[in-house]
Amino acid sequence: MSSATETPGVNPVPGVVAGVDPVEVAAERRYRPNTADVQRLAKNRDERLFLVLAIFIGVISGLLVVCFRVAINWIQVLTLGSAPRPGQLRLLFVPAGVGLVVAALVQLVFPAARGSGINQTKAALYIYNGYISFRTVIGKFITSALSIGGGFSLGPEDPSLQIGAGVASMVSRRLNLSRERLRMFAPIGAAAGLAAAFNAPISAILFVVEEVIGRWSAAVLGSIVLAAISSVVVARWFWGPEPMFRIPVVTLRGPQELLAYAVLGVAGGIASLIFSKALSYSRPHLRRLPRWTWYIQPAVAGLIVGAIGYFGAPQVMGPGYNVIDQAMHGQFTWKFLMALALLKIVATTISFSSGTPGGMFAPTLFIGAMLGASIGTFEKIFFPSFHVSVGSYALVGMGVLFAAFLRVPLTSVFMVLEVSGNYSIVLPVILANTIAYLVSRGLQPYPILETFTHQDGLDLPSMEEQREEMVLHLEDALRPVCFPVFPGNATLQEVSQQLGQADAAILLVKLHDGSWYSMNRNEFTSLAAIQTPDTPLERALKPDRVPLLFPDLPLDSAIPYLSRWPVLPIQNRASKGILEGVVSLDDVLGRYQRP
Amino acid sequence: MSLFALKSPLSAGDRIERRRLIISDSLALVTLFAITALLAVLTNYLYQSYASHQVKLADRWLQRGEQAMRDGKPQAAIDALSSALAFDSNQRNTEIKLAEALASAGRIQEATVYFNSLLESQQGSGLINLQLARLAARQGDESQAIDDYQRAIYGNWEGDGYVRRRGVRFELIKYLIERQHLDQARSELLVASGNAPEDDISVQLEIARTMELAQDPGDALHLYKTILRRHPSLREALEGAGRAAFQIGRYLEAKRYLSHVLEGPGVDQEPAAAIAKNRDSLKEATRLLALFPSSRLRPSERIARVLTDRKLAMARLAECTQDRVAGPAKDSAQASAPAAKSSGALQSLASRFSRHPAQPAPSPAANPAPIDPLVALTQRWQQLPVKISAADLEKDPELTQTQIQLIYDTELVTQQVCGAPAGDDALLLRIAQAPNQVEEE
Repeated sequence: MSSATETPGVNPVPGVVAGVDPVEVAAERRYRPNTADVQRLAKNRDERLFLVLAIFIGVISGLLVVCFRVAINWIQVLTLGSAPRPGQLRLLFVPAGVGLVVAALVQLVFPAARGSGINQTKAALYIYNGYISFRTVIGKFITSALSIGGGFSLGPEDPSLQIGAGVASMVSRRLNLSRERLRMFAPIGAAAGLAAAFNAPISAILFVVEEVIGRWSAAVLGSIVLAAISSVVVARWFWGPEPMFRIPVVTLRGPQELLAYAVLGVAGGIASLIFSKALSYSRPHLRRLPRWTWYIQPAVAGLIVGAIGYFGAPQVMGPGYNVIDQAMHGQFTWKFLMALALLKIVATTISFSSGTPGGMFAPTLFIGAMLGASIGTFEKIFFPSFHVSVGSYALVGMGVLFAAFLRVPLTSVFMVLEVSGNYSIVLPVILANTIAYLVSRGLQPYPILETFTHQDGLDLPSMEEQREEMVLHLEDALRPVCFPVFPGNATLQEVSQQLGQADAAILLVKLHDGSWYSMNRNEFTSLAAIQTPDTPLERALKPDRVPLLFPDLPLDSAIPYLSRWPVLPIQNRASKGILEGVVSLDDVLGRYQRP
Repeated sequence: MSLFALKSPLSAGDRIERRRLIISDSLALVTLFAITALLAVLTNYLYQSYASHQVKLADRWLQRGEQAMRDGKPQAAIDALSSALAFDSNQRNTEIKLAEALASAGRIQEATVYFNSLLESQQGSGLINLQLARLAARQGDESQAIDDYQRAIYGNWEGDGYVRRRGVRFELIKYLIERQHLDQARSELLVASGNAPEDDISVQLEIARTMELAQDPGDALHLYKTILRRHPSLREALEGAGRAAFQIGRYLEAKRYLSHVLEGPGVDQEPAAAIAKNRDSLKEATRLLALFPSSRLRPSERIARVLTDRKLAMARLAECTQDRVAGPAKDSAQASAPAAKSSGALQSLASRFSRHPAQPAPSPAANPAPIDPLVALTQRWQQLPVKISAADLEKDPELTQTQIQLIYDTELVTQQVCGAPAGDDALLLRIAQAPNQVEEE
């Protein structure tokens, strides 16, 4: 894990760390569910409740996310009008006014609502045992709906994720579940919230696994899937089953067309770098300003975003999904699309850095779609032999920026497939996303979410590093068998003589059924003392046997047995009974200590 | 509650505790269910209220977009229709209108992309294929346009599919005529004619008129006559039949129809230009029939016409020969001997038949190149007696026939060599082009 000092950070203001309310922290300290009795009275209760509650969490999250989206749309229509056009004065002033209200709410009533919601959910999982307060959920709902509906360049997905996690936390707390279970409810709710917001269950599950949990855990995966599916069913009940974007079937007419998508991958990697740098520079700088400015920063941000809309590009205001759709249908020139991508980076950076609640998923998709459509339109004009479909470029562009900016390559591929419902685009998506991801990694060592956690003074696990962490195996600590090996039918006298000659401290015994036994000299001496010399060794041994271990097992899998056995024989998987080598506790620890 | 195992080695106190736990969990789940149900009702209410508002907004913007299109403001229509779609993205008609607005604004590529994406979701839509055909036609992509028109004809249409398909077929036919693919246009017209209901006169008339545009007056006449069998006094059909008959050289028939048109009721309501045109056609047909040496005539009358036509043809030949001799002589410096010979023959013929005195022959060096068809024609005239009387013709029907044929050939050859004639010569030429058609009905 990277150190917090390695990235530009700020000294967090006490009590306002990572959007965590000090009142909540106190509540967390008070919150100590006593589950020991419950476990004793009903042993399998938690497991069974876990699955039932996952469905409830999914349904409730889905309903809340639908309400959230409807609230955003209502606010948008009521404040910005049904069709914002450049030159409308309200574009200039509404976001500023909304910014003032949101700032007041965040500073005075809902301090934990600040930010996108992803890091807050991770913090809840890793620091606060999955605890997210009801006030945070309400605050996130109100302030995010106001800011997104009021024209700030932010998206509803990340707040939906936190709202889902909050719902899960609230539901699970009422049932006195174990701490471990409580902790795992946050990602379940997060998956449900994100799945409903995106109408994409697979992407939501993958994102939570890739970015929140960081590993595939069988214990929680079933519940995550249940919750995500339940929430998507609810969302589709209202929004309908159609994918978010429709593009024509993509037919690659030759490998040279993949080159065009590769260009998009490189451009996406560079764009994500610009976006990340802008955010990681401006966010701490604005946070360092005096506390009173926090009340007006969102208003100033709103004024700037409103000015962008007033003077010609209202498309950058709000999440911009309808603009993405228009770009996919080739309704803009490539220059205007490029301008929209750059203006969206500016608008989102200002909106997010000012502390206005709202997510970055939608802006990321917007920037990627504009970039992709721009490159697609350019290639269509200047390289007509490529038979470019602007819609497919916009879609791949979305995935590209998602992969490069949020550093979730697997999720980005499935996200594109799910939001388009079009599998024909999979090859370009995989190629372009991989290139963008590699370019982004090469140019920006830390993912943006990790940078934010460091800026907030938190030290959450880096999922990217976790994914790439090298796992040590038993074969890495293996050493040749340098101890005497005896058959089980050897007598104690024979063994004693040979041990004396070999001067060995440890001996291995191969038993007639193929199992092994290891012991040190002291154990042998004490066994021999109570048996006659002609007793076969096998009969003198204790009844337990060394576990069956193989070279490809994780190194830590040996540790529990090394308190009982002086060495562990490691066997060949193909030919059981044949030893690959042995490991001792010193071998294991030595391997861990080696860089 | 089946969540817990019922048999367990618990003490009596524990059992009570466990029962409490079961009740507490059950209550919690019931409460959760109630909260979920309540939230579902609230969400549904909120969603429905917004959805109805969305529909209103979508309608409002759609109307504005349609109005902008009617006012010829495609850019405003694009904005309005985009807004309508933002509130109701599943309205295919709005999407199609937006694509039409894009096309009207000259954003052909965008419109094409838009229509193609719509086609993905509505495979086989007649309307979308029609729009794509129009866009391809605007872009000059003929084969794509024709393909798209065909797909539109055989595509799916809402409502009265037959009428829409017929409209598209007419549009295709007009496009084909415009692009001079007349054979394809005629084929489509025959299909349209076969599919047209017999009692729908307006459709039959439209097909017949389009056949005339596709230079198929024969089929047009046939169709007009079919209509006239049902509606003998239908003015449009009479007028069309007269026009078509005139075009294919059935002048007797044309005269009959045009007379009906001009003498029939309602002629005063016709535009003056149309009346004048019909009157001219009738006049021409009448005069033409007066020149035509019809075999149906009494012999004396027929021979009189032959003699009249003979004079006209000889004068035409002389005039044409004189023009030929005088015209190219100026720029032909080296004439060959045979050319000089033929020039002499023409000159003598010209002086023999000319309405004007013959000009002196230019020097052989200035003679034009030989004009074979005219020379051959002259030689044929020279083989006939210089003077032919009515009695000569009456006595010799073969000579009459030879003379008639020579008159026709003279008109045809002189038209090729000297250009289109005027006056009676022009009428004789028309007769010569299809003498058997003149009185055919």
